[in-house]
Amino acid sequence: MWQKIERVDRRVIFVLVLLLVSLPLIVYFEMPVSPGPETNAFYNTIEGLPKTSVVIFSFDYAPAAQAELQPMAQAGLFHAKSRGLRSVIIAFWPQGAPLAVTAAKKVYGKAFPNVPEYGKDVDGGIVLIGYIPGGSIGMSSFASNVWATIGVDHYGTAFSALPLMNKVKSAADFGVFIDWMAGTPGAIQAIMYMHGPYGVKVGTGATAVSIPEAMPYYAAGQLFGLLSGLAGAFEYEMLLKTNYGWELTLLQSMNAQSLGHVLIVIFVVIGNIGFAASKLKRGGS
Amino acid sequence: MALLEDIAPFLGVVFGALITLFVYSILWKENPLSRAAEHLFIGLAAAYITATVYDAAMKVAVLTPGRLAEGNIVWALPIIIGFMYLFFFTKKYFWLYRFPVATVAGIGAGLVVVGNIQTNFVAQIAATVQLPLWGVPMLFPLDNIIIILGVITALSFFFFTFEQKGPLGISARVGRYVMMAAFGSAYGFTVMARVSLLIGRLRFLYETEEAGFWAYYMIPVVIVLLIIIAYWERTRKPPAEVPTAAPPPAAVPPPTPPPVAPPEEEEKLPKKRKKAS
Repeated sequence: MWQKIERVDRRVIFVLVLLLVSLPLIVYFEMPVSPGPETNAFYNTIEGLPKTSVVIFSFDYAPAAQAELQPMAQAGLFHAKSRGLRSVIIAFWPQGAPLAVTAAKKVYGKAFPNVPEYGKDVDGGIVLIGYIPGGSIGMSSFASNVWATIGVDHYGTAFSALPLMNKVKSAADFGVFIDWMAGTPGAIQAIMYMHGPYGVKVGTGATAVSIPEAMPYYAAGQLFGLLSGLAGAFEYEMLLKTNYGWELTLLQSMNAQSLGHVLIVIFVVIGNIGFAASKLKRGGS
Repeated sequence: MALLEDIAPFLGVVFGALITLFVYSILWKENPLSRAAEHLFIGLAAAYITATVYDAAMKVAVLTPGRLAEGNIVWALPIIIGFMYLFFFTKKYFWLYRFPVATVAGIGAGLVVVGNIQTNFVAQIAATVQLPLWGVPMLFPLDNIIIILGVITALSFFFFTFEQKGPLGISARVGRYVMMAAFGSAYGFTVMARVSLLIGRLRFLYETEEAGFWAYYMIPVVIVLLIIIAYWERTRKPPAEVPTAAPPPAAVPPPTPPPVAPPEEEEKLPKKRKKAS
């Protein structure tokens, strides 16, 4: 029997995962989730910023990571706007800029960038600089001198015509730097080129794959907070819902992920029992 | 143009759903639909990145105040260096390709060396050494002890100056378990990420609607296409073998007469070779 289980067609597993993950997306129910310490630290740091601070959001991901990072990016922008902070959006990945536009439209309305806050040094003010070429080198340059790195925003408007950008000349002017990270360049490079030389507080929301890489930096205090994939995004959404009335977008996704994980854990256990049983039957070597 | 703008969201839903389903059809087996999606993705990604990087380079080197657009020709230099990458495709001027590579590698190496030592070495060691072992709530010292033991034992696994036996052997073995736990954690996060991607695509299929057209309407379309492909693959005849012309007979060299040994040497040759035992 165990040998049969070991030889089960992989497509059977695919179908089971599909069914179990689809179920919570079709049938609504709630499962308890409470924010972890990394999410709380992320939220509390933004809460503790003075109202006129500038938050730099770096959209360093591609559509492949959209499922995990786009919800937290939208929630982050909403948080900054709700607190009256100023937001400057950049991207060191070429694909990041259009995702940033989508997130900004979700929070500021479909008319973005034609909104009253755009470019202004007011509560909830925002500028979308867009893609900055050069990867890590571009990041280092941006930290040392923003205006020398790029002098126009995503829509071609000169910084001199955007009052908010008069407050943002170098890393010393950043309240916090938040990197939505799916790889390199990402938060680790931001620690190297912003936290290390200039002492900028760096936080990240990362894809689950990147979390083992990012966790030591959080433990060492080099990251002020860490949102871990979809789960971290949902925990952050819950905090924003409680305090600012943010509409949850990931409840069903979290349920689907929980059920998907349960199924995969069951498969791993069965697979290992099958492997051990087969090994014992062969005489165990 | 206005018509195109009107129907663009609708086309986005249709093509988004189709490409999603095409890609996932590889779970059945590799097929023309999944291959088409792969090729489309590579082509689109290359085109998109080329356009975006060109746009960004224009902003940085030309449009930013005080740059090329205002007559500052120094900013032509990075553009020229960038174009030198194209000499990769020539044999004669390949050496020019080394200039942009050297520029990028040199700047990158300089930045990474400084940043890495501070971020990944000094700061990490300092944070580990400064971990408190007492004076904090009960569970946290245990965390810190595990971190410190994990760091020491995992490092000892890579200590090859002495043979790994005795206390060093035990430490290296524990270090191996620590690393296995770390790899297991990384695997778990990878599974989490992959399930998240599936959830993202399923939510797109189940929840996206444009002008009364739901993305999941494309599911039966793709299933029908896959059935047609399966039927076609089952019924199609294997390609007939093209008969190849027989190769012309190789020119047979004229037989050469065996060398005739001079009479005095012929006598020295053994009459019969002995078999090697």
